[in-house]
Amino acid sequence: MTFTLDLTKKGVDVFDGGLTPNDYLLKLNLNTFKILAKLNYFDLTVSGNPTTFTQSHSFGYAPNFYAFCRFPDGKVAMAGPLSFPYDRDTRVLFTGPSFTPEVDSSNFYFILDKPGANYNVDIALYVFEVEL
Amino acid sequence: MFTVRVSLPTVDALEENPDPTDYSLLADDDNILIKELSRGTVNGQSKTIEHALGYYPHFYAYGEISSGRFQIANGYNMFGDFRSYVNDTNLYLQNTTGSDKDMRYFIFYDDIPE
Repeated sequence: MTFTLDLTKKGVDVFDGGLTPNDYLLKLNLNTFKILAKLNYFDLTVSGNPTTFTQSHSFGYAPNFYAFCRFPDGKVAMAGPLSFPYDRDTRVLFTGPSFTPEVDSSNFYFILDKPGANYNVDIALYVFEVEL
Repeated sequence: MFTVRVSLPTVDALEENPDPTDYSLLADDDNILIKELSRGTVNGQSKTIEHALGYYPHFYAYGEISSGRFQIANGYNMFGDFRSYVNDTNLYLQNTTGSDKDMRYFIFYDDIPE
């Protein structure tokens, strides 16, 4: 006999035969993507152009990850090459700092451009299951 | 009402007012758990991965910027080395480096607009 544990969202009948994966909180025959670790870094000073902050890890492979950066104006931007969070309202290119996170089998790298004066950032890193 | 709670070590799962951060699974409310559809690696400069879900699914994409080193393929930045976007049928991956690169992807059942 196969055991399963399925939990539907509020108001959804778990015995309804027409349910989709989006009707469930948990369905054991679908992998629930897991966050293995979360790390926060505070008050990192970007003093060179670019500045690379390196965080070693011991996974032994390049893990799946995601990262967010908080800039001095308090805005938090998702990671991405050549993002320009200072100017996302005016759409002016290349006048603000960018945030490019990368990973390999030994380290996480947080690369930030410094188009003007030094500035400080906070970074939040999420490490997901599975190797890239 | 029936519910299921799996608490973290040392946390009493029978407590009256559970804090979601103390639980690996808390079905009292509609906590979001992302459910995986598929994952894979493709090589090239422009790749289309069919998901056929009929809606816009949550996804992550990465490009191998150098051997063993990966960069998040975030959005559709015209100056970025890697791009990614999704519609209700496919995930589209593109690298603009001028040479074939490995690109990794993860597609989930979760419907972004829902």
